Amino acid sequence: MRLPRNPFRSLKVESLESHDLFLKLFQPLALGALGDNPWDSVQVIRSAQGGGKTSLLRIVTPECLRKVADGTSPHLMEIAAELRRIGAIHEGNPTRLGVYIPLGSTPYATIARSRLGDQDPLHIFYALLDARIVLTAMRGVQALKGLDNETDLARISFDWPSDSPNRLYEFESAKDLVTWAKSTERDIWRAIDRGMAGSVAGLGHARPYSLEAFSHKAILVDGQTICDGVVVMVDDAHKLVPEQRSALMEHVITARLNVSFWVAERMHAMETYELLAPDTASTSREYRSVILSMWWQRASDSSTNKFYNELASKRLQESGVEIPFDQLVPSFMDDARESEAIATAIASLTTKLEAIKAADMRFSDVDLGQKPNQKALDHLIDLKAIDLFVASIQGNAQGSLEFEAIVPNPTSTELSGLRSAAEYQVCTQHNLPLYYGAATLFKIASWNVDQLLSIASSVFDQYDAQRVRNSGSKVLPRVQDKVVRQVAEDYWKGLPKRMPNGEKMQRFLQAFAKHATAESLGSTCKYPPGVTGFGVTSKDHDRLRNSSATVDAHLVELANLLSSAVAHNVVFMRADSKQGRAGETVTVFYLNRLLCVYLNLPVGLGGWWKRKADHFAGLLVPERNSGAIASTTTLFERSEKGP
Amino acid sequence: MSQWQSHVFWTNSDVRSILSAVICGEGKRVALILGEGFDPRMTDCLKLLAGETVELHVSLLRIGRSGVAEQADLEERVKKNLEDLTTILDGRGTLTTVDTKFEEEDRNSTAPSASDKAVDFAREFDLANLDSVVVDISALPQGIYFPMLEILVGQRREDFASCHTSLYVFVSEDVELDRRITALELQEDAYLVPPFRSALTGTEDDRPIVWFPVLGEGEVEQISRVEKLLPPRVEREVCPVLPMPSSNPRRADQLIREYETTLQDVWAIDSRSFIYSDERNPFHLYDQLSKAALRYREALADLGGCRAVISCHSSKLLSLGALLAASELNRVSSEDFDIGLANVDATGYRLELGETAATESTFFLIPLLGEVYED
Repeated sequence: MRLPRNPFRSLKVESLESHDLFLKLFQPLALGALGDNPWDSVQVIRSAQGGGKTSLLRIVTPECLRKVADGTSPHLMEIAAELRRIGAIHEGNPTRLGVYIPLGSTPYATIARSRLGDQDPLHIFYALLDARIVLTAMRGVQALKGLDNETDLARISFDWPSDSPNRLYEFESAKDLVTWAKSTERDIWRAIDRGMAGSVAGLGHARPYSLEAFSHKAILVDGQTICDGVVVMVDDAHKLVPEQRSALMEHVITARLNVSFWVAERMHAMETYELLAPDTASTSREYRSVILSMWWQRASDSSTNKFYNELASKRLQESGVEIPFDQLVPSFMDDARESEAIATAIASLTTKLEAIKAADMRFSDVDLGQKPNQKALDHLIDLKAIDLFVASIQGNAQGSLEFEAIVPNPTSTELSGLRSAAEYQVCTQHNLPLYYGAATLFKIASWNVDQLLSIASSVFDQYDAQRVRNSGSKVLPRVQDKVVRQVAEDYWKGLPKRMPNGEKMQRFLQAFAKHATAESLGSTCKYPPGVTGFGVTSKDHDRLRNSSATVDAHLVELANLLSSAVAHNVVFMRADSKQGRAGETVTVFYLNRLLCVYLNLPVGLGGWWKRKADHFAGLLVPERNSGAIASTTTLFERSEKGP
Repeated sequence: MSQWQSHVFWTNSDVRSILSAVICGEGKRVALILGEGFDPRMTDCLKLLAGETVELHVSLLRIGRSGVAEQADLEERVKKNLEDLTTILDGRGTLTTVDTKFEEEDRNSTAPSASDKAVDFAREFDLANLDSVVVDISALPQGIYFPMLEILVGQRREDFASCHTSLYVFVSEDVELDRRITALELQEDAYLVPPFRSALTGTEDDRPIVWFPVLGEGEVEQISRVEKLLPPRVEREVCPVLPMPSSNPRRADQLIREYETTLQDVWAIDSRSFIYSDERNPFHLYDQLSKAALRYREALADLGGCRAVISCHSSKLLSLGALLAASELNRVSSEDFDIGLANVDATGYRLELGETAATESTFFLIPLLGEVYED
């Protein structure tokens, strides 16, 4: 199977029909999110849509493990090394039987709402889950051992443990077990569709029996065990109704299971209280939870960039484009049209700064010249950084009666802190491209693979058009900038469909942007590269989290909106940061970087707008939102971590 | 032989004539099922029936959308529609309110509760002593009328026959108004409406899927959600349906342009896979879809059969055609063939009123069961 013409359009790598293609596109770095030993406790893997959960599960399926274990290509060996590290492969053989259960296309949730007569809805759910686990496990055994579908089923036998009564122990042969599972699924679903689920006789499925039955010692092929452990991987658990999800989670945490159990779900399955918890990713004795976007945020920029670049480049390669993605999207401007705009901007800024130097002797030593071999854009950014530097000194000196000494020429170190803000400001003010270059595009992806693919896909369309027209093999910064802005606009327009109360979120963000843009483009820019988030003190964060109909009721709407925005990757939260005043901890909600593009803000993690939670709640009231709120520099704080 | 191979339906003034001459009259008992909502077409059918001599029993399905509360003007419109309804009825007949509401607290669950409630309502609907049942789908969402009509047409067919009751569907079609209504806050996932759920839940996972999306404007997100519903790594054939003939001869071309990326890059559609259907004749779409699905079934029988999934992203009228096809195919479902009818619910809507607020609706009356089809 090949990818479509635009290799980024086939969004989800886990949906690819071919295991070979999936493995080619899989990035082993992602396996780090599973930790060193994912087998001992229940694993809960969470992310927003497109965070990469399913790929992590698919790699452990028997078909993929087998291919990786047998593979000789450098890429497969790289994946094998990571799988060896976590104990999924040993001495060239898969050591785990991965049983992947997608809950997405099966409406288990509807069982809870069906008329079931005397049947317990949980019993029906468990019976269906067991049936699916049985079928997938048997198919997995065949894949793992290379058995032929039908005839070799007889080679599978069971050595059931004798610890406790279990419905599945009634079946001695794999064939009988598979027949039971098939008829259970078919009969139950047809009965539900015909409104006769209550008539499904004698289920008595009080718990998911397969999680106890399928120990690695119980499944035998030709009388021999086949692996060191069975892992049941339940995907899209957010599609269960809360009662089913919590009952299943309670069972797997408290019962004695003979399998490892992984759960992948979208973050919106979590309650507001959980979503706004300072540490939403925790390791407890009960289960280990990892939120993929947060795991990636902790990774270094260079490893994230490497991950994204390889991911994108492999897709390009698959469609016959041999140029690595980062070379397709150059990060420097060299075409004539930009040079002209840059030259004009340099002239205008130089004139302004020369005038300042002439009027204010303190700045007479400031050097405005272009360094040898320095690119014109870098010179322009330096000039703007000098401009910001000068403005900040002028601002600080206001009202002072002290003697004003000559200001030495700012060192490159002094200017480097201002360069990101300077670049943002000159590009914005002089209509130069701002959002371009692989590193910037990866940043805009906001730790979300779907988002990266949608950006890359639009870039590829442009590249493809150029290829057809024979008008260049690289997508120039100006074009990248235009393409990314279009993707951002689509994202913005889609917000009402993407998350609950999306229109309300848009209004809130517009109110935020009014202040953030003014602050980011200010003449001093205290917090380079600008303001891209909003924050509250940890105390206010707690108030938000604990708000209810009886306590801080006016904050409930904001709490729900923010938790939903976190769950859908519209904002990402950094809690308990030691920022702002000494001894004070704060929680900052940074915008998805695609929203920064739409709102014309920088994409680096810069300053953030600090107010009381009550103030932000007020922005949700339309009449208060519409009025201008006085901008005040003291309300903005700087992030500890730069872009 | 297909059930609606011979068919008839009426538009505009003919609708009035049929209502007067056939459905209504001295001693006739008619049940009208309609949805409560902001849609100005909500009371169109009721207005027509109220002018006739008939014993009228109205069932008002409360739909409820959390998103409506965001727009005060939509709430006002719901109120006004309800006031109009009370005024039109003026104490005549009976009015029963039925709760099929999608509650805010249901949001975290993907259970299509409104659909389940619609199923229960249709299963329990009392046909005794009724001459006709008219379902006005003008202000109802697919999530309600798909399951309701399938239960009535499919599972309760015999009840209609034994009670000598006819079933009609009324549609007040207004393309311009439809264009002004935007679905917001789509439900997280698409789902197969009941009672078509077993198509994707059986164990025959390897059977290929043939998907028939009926294309309409501005439904990219909905279509993408239906696509995500289909199991991955299963052979898939997509046969998009385009409206042709259409009152706008360029409409099919415009849709191809709108969905160009999906058609070309994602589905890699062969031009022979397109199905064309008259946008003003639901039976044409019914016929096209039924035949196409059955041809696939026949062609793939030796390979273990297939599953067909229909999703409608176009007008109410065409959605009825999609439903009829699904209903017919459901009756022939077997070990080697299953049919699913997919839907994506929206929990909020926006109504944009342009400078020309007044729009003109075309009425359609489509008989599905009863005396029209009796020999």
